[in-house]
Amino acid sequence: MKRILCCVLALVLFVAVFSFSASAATSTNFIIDNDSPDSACVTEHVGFDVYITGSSHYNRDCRRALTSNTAAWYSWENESKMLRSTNPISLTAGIYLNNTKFTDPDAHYYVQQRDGGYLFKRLNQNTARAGWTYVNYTINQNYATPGGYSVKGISVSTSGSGSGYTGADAISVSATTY
Amino acid sequence: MKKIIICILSISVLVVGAFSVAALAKNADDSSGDRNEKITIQPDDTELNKPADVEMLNTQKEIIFDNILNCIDYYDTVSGTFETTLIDGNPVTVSYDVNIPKQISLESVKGTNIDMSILCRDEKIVEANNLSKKYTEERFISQYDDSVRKKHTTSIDKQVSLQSYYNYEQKDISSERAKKNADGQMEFYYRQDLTNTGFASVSIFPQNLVFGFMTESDAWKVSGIETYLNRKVLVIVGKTADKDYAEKLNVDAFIMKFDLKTGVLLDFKGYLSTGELTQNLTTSEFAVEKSKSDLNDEITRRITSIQNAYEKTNREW
Repeated sequence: MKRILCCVLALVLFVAVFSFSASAATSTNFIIDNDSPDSACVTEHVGFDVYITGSSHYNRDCRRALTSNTAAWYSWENESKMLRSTNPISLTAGIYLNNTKFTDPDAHYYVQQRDGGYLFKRLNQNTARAGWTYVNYTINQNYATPGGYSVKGISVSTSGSGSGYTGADAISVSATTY
Repeated sequence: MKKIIICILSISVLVVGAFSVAALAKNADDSSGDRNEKITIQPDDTELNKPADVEMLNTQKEIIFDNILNCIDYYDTVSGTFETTLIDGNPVTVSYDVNIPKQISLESVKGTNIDMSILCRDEKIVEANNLSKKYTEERFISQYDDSVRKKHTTSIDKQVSLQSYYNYEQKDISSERAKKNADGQMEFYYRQDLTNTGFASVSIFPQNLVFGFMTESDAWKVSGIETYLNRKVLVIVGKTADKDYAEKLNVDAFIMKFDLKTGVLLDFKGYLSTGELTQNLTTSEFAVEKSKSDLNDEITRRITSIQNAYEKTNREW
């Protein structure tokens, strides 16, 4: 009788653990401003040397680069909040911009995985309205590590065309996987 | 001992039960999210040309706003040519050929300071700068899912298709896509651009301009239905509600002409309050569902030609 009960108990516990691992959702949410003072966040850039202050910007500051500078990029990362999974990741990425001088007609935004990245949005900063631009994106590929998906941040690069400025202010990442 | 085992067994059964209920709830959520399956498209039998029709259209601005924001659901393939100042301030000519189900596209962008070819195939975008003879190649993850997407066969003024598509009744749909957050910042919820275009999208998936000029429904109205390039277009006139946006684009008032069948923006004129024309987009060629059968071959040929003749550069980040 004891053996039967133990077997049943083991089976029930196995099912419980399996159910938990199958249904538990993991997620991450974070916002990173340009030049973030948060030690967990890393903001790096090439170009984007002009630092701007003003009340319209997120935390009252942002950066800009010449759209014609083909080498310019800005990246926002938070390794400590990186979401990793062997299952696809559902991402809602946010881009905050509020400056009438940002006119890049084709700014390229990339989702940064642990070991690579993908272009997820081509944004005409000239015709985009001020505020948060949110885009949903499913990460179900990783050419660097097939079957391993992750998200730790966002980066932007200039279009290389036009005569205005590309802006970099704040980004947000809201990602879930199962 | 027996009692302890029975006790543990009971707790385990309770835990499993709780997980089962949670799983059922999740499945219920999933099924409610699968709204696309409930589409019932109405036949396109309306001829809109009377004043009463225009009046009626102005009572359903939210429907029009939302349908145009989802215009990629109204066509599979588009091709055309337009000239616009909305890219770098100077007149720029954009030619495009897009096939959404095949996830291939071709853009040609030419202006005083710009000459580019952008080709999309196999989840890669090749951007060639024809002035500097350099090109970049970038990966993207296609967000097209044939099992989910349902192409509309009606036109953008049809309320019934929208309501059945979203299964939202009596709901302020437009507020779901553009709203102010608790900090007073505007939030705009974009669809992933299934056309994979960066320049042609200002016309064929004009989310920026629609959010920019049509979010405030009292700032614009439908003024009529016209014929443009032998197609029926919905004419919308308005004033720029957002002062910063008006300043940025130099546009205080506007006229937009959307293809009634697809929601593609075929014509845009922006004016200062003085009446001076400051921005425009004028389409000279436009075709729907007439994609070249050899588009994929043409893209392949052009990519090969670029790879052979141009220098490859990497975007660093």
